[in-house]
Amino acid sequence: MHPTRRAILAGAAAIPLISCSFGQEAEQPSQASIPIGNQPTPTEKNWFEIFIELESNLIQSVDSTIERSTSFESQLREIRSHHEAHLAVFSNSSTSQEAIFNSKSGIGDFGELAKLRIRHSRSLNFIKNSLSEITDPLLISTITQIAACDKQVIDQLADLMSQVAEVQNPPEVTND
Amino acid sequence: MTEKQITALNNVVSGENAAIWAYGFLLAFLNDADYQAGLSTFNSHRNARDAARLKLRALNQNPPRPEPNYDLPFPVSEANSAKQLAAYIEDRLSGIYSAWTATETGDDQTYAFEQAVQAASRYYFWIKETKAFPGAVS
Repeated sequence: MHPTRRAILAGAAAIPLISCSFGQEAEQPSQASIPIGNQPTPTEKNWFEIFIELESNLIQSVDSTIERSTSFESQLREIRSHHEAHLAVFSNSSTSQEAIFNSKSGIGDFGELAKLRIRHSRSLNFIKNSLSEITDPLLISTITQIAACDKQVIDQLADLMSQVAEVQNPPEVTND
Repeated sequence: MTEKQITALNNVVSGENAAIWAYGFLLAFLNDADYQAGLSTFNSHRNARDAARLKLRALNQNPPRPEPNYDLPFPVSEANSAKQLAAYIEDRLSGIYSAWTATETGDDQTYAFEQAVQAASRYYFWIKETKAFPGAVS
């Protein structure tokens, strides 16, 4: 079943601020001004399906990384919770799947984190490249925020990879 | 150009004005390791503000002027709180640019999208935290 725009509105946390003045109460766009209750266009329906599959795959990838890596579980679980929140905007059903990968891949933390980072880059690029196909303003601002989250996760994974690299290749200590 | 587009663009200019003021203030508290990043970001916000002002002027609109002063959302007295303020600003701007993305098409939409993403990236840079929906009201 395709999510309706009303279902998307259930993700109230996705409504952006429109004021940046300090000390003022943040304004929110009136929901009444947002076209709701319309059926998504065929293009949007297709987009929903691809996006839901992409986010579901990201959750599975994070689960896989948690299973295969020895470090950074708390950070990875937070990334997973972000994707669950993204998916919840587009679906009424919870997606708290348990990890489905149990085998150790042997490529190590660095490789697992690198794979996860590439998948998040793909997600960001998918959103960027499909912006022109979406017509609903609320949906556009919501998916822009999801892409912004992907970028934060990409940066975080780069930091985690640096930490792994430092442990594996500590800087040489020279005795002058 | 619709009323919503002009409103969104005005919000961008107001947000960037506030960001420029905030970075001018918080730079003094950053330690040496973060100062250059802060200065570079300050200049990025000036460029973004100027670009948005030009767009408004091209539409025969008067861009909003900066306020003479802004109320800080929380006390800033040392490097950590200065970085929190920088992150606060970037998160708000990410939301403002996301809203602008929704009103545009074509190159302007891509630009607004990239600005939203970059602001979220800077939020992470300052405080090493991520959010499910950067720029959203919590």
